[in-house]
Amino acid sequence: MISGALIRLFARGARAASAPGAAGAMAVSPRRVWAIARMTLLEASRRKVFAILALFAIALLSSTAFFPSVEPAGRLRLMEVWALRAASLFTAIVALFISGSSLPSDFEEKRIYMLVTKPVSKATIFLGKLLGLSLLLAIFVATMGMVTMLFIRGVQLLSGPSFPSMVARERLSDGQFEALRPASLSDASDEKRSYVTADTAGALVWRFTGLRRADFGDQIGLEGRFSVGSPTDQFRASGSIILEARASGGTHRVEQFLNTNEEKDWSIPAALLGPDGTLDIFFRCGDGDGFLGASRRDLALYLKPGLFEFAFARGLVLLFLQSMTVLSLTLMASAMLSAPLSILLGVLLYVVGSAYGYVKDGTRDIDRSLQELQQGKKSPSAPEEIPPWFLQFSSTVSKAVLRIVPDFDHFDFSKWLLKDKAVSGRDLAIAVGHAVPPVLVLGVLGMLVLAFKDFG
Amino acid sequence: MTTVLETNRLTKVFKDFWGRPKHKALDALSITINPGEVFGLLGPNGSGKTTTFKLLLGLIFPTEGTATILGRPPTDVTVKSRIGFLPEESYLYRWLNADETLDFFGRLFNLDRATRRKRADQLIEQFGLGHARKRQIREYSKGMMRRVGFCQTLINDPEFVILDEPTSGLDPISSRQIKDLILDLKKRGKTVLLSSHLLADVQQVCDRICILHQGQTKEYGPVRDILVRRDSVQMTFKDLSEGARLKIEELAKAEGAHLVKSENMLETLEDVFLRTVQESGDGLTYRKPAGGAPKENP
Repeated sequence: MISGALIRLFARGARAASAPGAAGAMAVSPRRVWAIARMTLLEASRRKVFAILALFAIALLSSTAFFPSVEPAGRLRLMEVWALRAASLFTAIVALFISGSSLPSDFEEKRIYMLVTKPVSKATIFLGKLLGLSLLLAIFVATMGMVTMLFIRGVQLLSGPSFPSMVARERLSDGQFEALRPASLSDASDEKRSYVTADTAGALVWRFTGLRRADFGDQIGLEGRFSVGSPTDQFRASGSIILEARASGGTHRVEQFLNTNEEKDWSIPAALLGPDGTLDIFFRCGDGDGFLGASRRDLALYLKPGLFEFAFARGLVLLFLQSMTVLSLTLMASAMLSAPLSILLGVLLYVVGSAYGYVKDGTRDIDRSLQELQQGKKSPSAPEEIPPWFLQFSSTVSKAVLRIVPDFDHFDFSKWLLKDKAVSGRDLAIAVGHAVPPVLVLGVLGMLVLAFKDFG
Repeated sequence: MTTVLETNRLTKVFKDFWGRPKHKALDALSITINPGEVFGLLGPNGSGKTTTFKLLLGLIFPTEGTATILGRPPTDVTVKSRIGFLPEESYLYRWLNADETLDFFGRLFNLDRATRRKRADQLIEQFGLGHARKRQIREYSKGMMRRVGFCQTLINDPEFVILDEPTSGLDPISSRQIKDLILDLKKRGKTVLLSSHLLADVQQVCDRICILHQGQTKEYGPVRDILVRRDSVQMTFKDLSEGARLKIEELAKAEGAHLVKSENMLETLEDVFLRTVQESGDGLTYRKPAGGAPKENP
């Protein structure tokens, strides 16, 4: 059905594009875009779409029913989880249903006649809708954020000192990284990681520059994650490591036992930091037969906690960006498909985007199986009944999907909030980098689809 | 003189899902409309009137043939700033009120705030919607929605007005008001293209017509040329006595003419209705348009 719609669209498109004056179909007038966006917002408000926010507030309030069964210290987490899940769900509903039904209802009720017969290009109509719905979504997310903060602060006020402090620490993870005397470990190697061993007295070194003493409290928090083990014992996944922090104000050394890939926190005195603002962190193996592996982004410094509300707002931007990708796809699809099909496509994007990591891992497994089969080996990871051509097909489709669909993990606010971490400027930039290209591409596609659509 | 509208063998064939021809809605329509003319497109349901309008407004693309409006193709967005279109039904945003609706359409024409406000006020007053301007359109009657439709058609003071079934859904008073409005637009030099099932209305207001049937042009030309019967003469007298009538009949017979009908002249039902309603004094009044569509600021 979708392919049929596309074939018809492009057949028409070729005819329409050759018509004189067709170029005007793509001309965009900002004032008219704003007029349509404004009307979209106004109409949504009249349709009482914002009543969903009242449902959100009720959903949030209902979390208090579980307070007696949760210790006071856990109540903040309960509210955070509750608020994030509810915000995520309600934003998804709004993004899917409003964007999926806006254009189809204009087509069905023939209101589109009133727009296309005015000096408004079809591209302007699409952009106006996109802008109006994006603003609607932004209002939703912002209001949900404000309701959440008011609710949490209210509970904090009523709970007294037993309520846990609301912390969101911002990370710095852009240190220069290098491995001194690196080791090549064929079994443990991961192409993204560097390894050192105790034998070679190697070290993993991060250098942070431009640090300001005022950005930290008494202590500088560190968080790291390492591969730890032994080249001679493939079953060992833990070991001792030595941290040495060097700055112009002195040196701090600490030894720690940790498991492989375990996130570990350290503190070093902020007084070490001199006016040059440079801090070198060395990690070495503490065991004589051990190895240590990490990548650049596996170590982060924590700044002094900032205002929780500000950190929370940054997290909501991630939620907004995620919803924007879904909204753009659903709106673009709705320019040529019916509302239910467009919404279904939006749901599919949610599902694939959320399962991105699994799909990626699965594709890697399939490729490994194919490689093994090509080498004439019996693949332990691919059942015999699956023919190689199907594995190849699955791998190709998965790779294509992974190229198109953004990884929703970049928009996952909960992984920061529930660990008392703030979304850093870099996290935000990464999320923007993953959301903006698909939104732009889908926006242009939607404009083209509408430009060549006729309303017979 | 440049034509306002010109079509050359304009054809539309609707196709099925697989692109196979399904129905020829319009077959080689070739018409021209001159400036200041009121042109009527007539035909029974399914004759291709609305398809023609959709083609002329760029809502659908022709299968064959060409059309130009004010010298530009229908797909040209800029030419639409000089056109006012009233669709067959009121496809309005039902959750907005009349003020918001007109403000929205005024914005689409890039009119500044003061002009939007002034024109909306004039049109709302002219179409008798002042008492309901703040009510949402979904609460309006069909006739009121139609009148809002007219307001949006004229919000840009268009040169060329396209009216699809303009009197459909209107009571006789409003219907008469629309006919007078069309004549007023003509008086002000505007060009009007309209379609209607109500042939008497068309006869009263149109200069030229085109009759379509099953997508094909059956008649095309000035209304008078199409309607005139060269073999019959109708004379209307006032205060003619019975005796004088008999003498005229006998004279005609002597000259070889055959009397077909001789009776007192009848008023139209519309005239009687309007007079009766106005005389009842219940507030329902017919107002002739004062100046028609709003004029540009001097």
